[in-house]
Amino acid sequence: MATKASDMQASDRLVDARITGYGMAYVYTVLFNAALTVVKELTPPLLDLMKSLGHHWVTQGVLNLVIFFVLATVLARSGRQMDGGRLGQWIAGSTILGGLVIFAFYLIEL
Amino acid sequence: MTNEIILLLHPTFGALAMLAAVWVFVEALNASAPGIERMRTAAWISTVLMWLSYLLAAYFYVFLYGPDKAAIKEGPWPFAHNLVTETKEHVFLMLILLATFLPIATAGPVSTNRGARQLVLWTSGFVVLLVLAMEGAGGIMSLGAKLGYAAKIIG
Repeated sequence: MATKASDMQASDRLVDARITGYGMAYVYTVLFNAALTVVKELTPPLLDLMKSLGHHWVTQGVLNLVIFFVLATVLARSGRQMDGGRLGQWIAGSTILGGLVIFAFYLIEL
Repeated sequence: MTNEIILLLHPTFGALAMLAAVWVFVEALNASAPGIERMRTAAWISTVLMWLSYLLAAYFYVFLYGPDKAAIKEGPWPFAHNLVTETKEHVFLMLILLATFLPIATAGPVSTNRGARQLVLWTSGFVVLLVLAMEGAGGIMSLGAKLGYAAKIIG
């Protein structure tokens, strides 16, 4: 009986696969964005390649959007559902981590 | 004059997007069936305003920022570009994705599902925090440019 109650409680916290997919796509894309920011600044050929496609910041923004929507589509189709509160924590954590990595990198580069 | 209007509209749209995100946050805090549609409308308003702010920022950053960048870097506050602008522009790339996700997060059964409600609170809350950070960073950039141009005039 207790198990059934906890199962019901857990299912009341799940968000659907589309929301889970887009949420986790945000998490992965934000971490990619932070990594690309550092790597492009430390790798002149990569920065030059991104500049050859347009302004490197615009290239990065477009790349982020492509990765976000492709990942979201793939993850949503996987059918995985997550606890919404836990997904929110992943979003908060990745936002803080991504922001700190970018800030710390430019602070060190000063 | 047009360039100055573009520059002013960028933080204006950002601030309005933040207010709409606060609206989403408050509706989620008091989630009830009648408030759900208001919350979803506010989420879309926030997203559209954020995209307007982003597109104006992109235009300004790519086509108009060059002289200001030079003035900041040659002025007494070079960190206003080397640290603040660089961080701001790359964190904004995160913010636009988060703002894009906001209406998707509100599509769940927020009034009956505790997890869906918490997701909206986390998402809208971080939209607000990131916009506040962007507005503060913009203020530092603006002051850096003013000090840079002032230093040029004074010599």
